[in-house]
Amino acid sequence: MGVRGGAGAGESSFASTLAAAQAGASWATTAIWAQYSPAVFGFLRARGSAEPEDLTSEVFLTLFSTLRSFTGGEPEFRSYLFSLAYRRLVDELRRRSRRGVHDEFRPELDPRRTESPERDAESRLADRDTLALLDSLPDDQRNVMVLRIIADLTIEQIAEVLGKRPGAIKALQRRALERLRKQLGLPRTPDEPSNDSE
Amino acid sequence: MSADDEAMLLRGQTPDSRPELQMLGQSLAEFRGAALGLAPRASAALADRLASNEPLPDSKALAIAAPARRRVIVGRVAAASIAAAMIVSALGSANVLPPAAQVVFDQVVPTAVPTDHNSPAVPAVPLQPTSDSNIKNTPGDDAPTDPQAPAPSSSPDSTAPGNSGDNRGKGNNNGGGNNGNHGHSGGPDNGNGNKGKNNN
Repeated sequence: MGVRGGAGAGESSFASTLAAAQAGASWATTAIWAQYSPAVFGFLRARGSAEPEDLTSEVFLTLFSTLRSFTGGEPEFRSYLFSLAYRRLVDELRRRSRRGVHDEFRPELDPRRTESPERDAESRLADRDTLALLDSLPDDQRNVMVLRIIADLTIEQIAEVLGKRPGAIKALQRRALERLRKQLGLPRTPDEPSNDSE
Repeated sequence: MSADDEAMLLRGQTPDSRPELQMLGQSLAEFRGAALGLAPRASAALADRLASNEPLPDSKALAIAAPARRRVIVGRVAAASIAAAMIVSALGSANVLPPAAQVVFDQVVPTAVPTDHNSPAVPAVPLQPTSDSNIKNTPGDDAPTDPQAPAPSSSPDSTAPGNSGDNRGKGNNNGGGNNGNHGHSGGPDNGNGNKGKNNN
């Protein structure tokens, strides 16, 4: 669909797709799903959703039920979509912590399970090396990093999604990167004082 | 780490001047690729929505429905208020409100609802002997006096004959022509149950 980027042809392409989706065109809603669902799914999965696939569908159902009242360009749409995803995620995490339920791991129900060996290998690699990379971060730092890397949001957009000030998001991002750098065993960068104590 | 370094790392690149950050940039690039590599399956409900060409729900319709709901609520509140006012009015007329509320009620509705003698707002008026010449009788009180008639009771709700309240239209025959009005002749209740109808 090529609606990413937010300017020029991409922006006009997004505008026409959005208008068609708001009118209910099947091709347009499908295009939005195809374009944005991997990022939403990746965000929910990386942030610890128990059922990220179902939750992604719920996010898009909510999106389509409110899309007619949406106005704005692609950046605003992206912020709006991830705001919906973040709210759904918080609801799920809160529900789970209230219930205190710990589901037993069953491989056949693992949503990360895939049919093809290539995808399976890819998923294993993701689990071991990359998705686990952010697990050691505190929740607020992990939110910022995941929204920055997977959702491709700017500092201002993340501030809007999380309801914080942009300055606070910048500080969280900096602390998260420093922490990851330490975790990977890299030497401290000499030209910057440490922010770890903040 | 500068802001530019951070931006490059988050894009999965390594700043040229910072080769020591290569591993971090590479890890973040892998993280990004792995997280975005899998496409989710749509649920049944979402698959139906994606296959449908029906217009999306119109949130403006919901916005139009809201005033209608507000009108219903306002109507119910108004009906409840009217019912409450009627109940208070009925209780006030029957003099069964709490004393303080009854006082307020009597002040607010002085003429519409006759006050009772037992109301604390209306002090009991002691009846005087018939020799009180300063008291001017009402036109209805000029009936011939009966010296044999029993003395009027000091109690406004006396059950003595002639004061029992059933003497409407019969003229007042309570002795001395004084029915205890004491200047209240124009009031709605003259103190002996005549209710202002003590005509001859």
